[in-house]
Amino acid sequence: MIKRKGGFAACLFLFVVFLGIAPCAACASPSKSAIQQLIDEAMPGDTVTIPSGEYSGAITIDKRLALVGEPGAVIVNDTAKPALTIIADGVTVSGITIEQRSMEESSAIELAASKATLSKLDIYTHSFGIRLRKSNRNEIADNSIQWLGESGQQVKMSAKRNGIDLYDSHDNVISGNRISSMNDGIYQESSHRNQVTGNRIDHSRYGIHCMYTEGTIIRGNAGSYNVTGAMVMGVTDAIVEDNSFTKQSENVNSQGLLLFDVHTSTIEGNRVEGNRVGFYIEQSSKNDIRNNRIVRNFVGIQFLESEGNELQANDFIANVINAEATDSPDNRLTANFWDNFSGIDANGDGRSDIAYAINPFFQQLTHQTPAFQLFFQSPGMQFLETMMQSDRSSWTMDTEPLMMPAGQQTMAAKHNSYTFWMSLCLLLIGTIIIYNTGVKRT
Amino acid sequence: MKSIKLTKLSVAACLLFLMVMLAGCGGKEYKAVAINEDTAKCAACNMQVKDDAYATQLVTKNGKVHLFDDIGCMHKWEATNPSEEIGASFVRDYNDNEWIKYEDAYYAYDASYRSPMAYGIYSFKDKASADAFVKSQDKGVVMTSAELASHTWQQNTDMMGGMDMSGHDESAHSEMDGDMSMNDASSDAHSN
Repeated sequence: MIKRKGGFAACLFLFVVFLGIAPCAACASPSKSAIQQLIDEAMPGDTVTIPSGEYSGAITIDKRLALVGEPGAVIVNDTAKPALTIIADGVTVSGITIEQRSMEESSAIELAASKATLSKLDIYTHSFGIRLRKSNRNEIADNSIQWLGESGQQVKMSAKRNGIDLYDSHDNVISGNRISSMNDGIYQESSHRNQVTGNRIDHSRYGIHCMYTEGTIIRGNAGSYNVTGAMVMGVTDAIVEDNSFTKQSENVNSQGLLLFDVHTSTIEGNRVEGNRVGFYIEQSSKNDIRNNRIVRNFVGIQFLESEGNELQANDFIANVINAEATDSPDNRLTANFWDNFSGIDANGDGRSDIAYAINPFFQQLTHQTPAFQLFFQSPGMQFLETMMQSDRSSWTMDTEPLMMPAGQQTMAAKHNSYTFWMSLCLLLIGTIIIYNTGVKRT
Repeated sequence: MKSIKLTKLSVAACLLFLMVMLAGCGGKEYKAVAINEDTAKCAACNMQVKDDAYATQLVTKNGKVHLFDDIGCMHKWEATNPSEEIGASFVRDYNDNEWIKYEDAYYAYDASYRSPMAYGIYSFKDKASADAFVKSQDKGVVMTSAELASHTWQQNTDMMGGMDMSGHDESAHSEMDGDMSMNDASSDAHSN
């Protein structure tokens, strides 16, 4: 009996001790409170400045603040939570370095509010970089996001997460960010009217990845050494212009720009260079593809089951195969430049009188049996290609290909008119001088 | 007498051999192949096939393997290639990535579940774990492969700002690729 009582007392004692220790353990993490405390003490609208130094993470911003880091301000987060969680609208964060060290599914910055400005942040992460959830009208500018890599350690691509990840988030501006070695650089799903401009993405899986978006603008971005520069899927009314996607060739499935299930979008003024496939277009319709430069790719442009697209004034130069097309009727190809094609221009309008037709033979063959790619450009294959001309009328063809690259032509035209007006002016001035002075002297 | 017995025996042996051969032909064993993420590409949508629980594959009767990043892509491929004879198709257990026959798996579906191509279908090796998952999510239905045949295969491509489905999209974000121990503010419904 006594023994039992003693046991009970011991239990009670231990319980009390634990109760006493537990809250301390929770608050024990060294300078956790440093930034959080500043935030908690600040009034909405204040600017909280973080002095240089290392702080530990899992910080939540729950009121409208500006969090500004002085040079050398670093937040290191070992917890499974995001280093920075923003749940209030109108927050500004800038000038901080963030290290998200935990391998748990999380993010360096979790944005669950709107109208935030995130700028000049240096993010190193073992999970997502910046994640937006139902978060609208934010500005994410001039940040750098990188996979937090131990030197020499090869990480499986599927272990990585996306740099900037949008889901159900609209009207955001993402500009001037530099993203490296992530899964997808900028991933947008079911998010509309976002502007992605002037970002640089390299060594990631897909540079820019759109899934089921509307009215997306992708302008002036540069992608290199990714599996695919921009993967645009299930999209309507997008604008993809003035981007450059280069050297996407390391992976067997590499492309510069891939359009899958994309409709009524504009693809203009892009440069795709040195990729395995420049433009890959599948099950896409009514897109306007113009003034692009498709240079030095293995395959310039590849159409599969796509129709009603308009291709105009694109330059295909020094690709191993300029174009392939299967099951793609009713695409309107006019006035593109194909460097492997020798046209005839009898009437001197700069456009060939004979059409450039795309032979689908090789693509059909390798689609069935990819191993036949071994016969790429082999003499036998080329011979077979010339034999298979039976339903030539259904091939995709450029009805009036350019005789000179479109890029050169506009330059030449500009140059020509400039010279013309200049010489006319000089002639006019010369005539006036000679006429006037001539009359006075005599 | 002895020779007759011997003939009988040899005939029996031949028959047995033939039967074994025939049985071997009929019950051709299809196996799921491992996924190499560097080269695996979805046969329907061209995306990389990750070595994760959403990956599926089918083997045609003439031995060709097609990989898919989402079970919906496999369904789409089957619909667009009706002439292909399919030997077997495989899906993965959501919890431990084990390959299982399509027919033997149980499926959990909800429009708000996230998957690579937004078909929102997860596969499980037994009914109990499928039920447990649906219960943990507080939403979704469990289907057998037969019931999946009459599924709409609707992709959840547009949350429309959450207007039309404010009921369940709150926890939609809790599903991110692959494993999940989320800190998403709204992931309370989620556990794994």
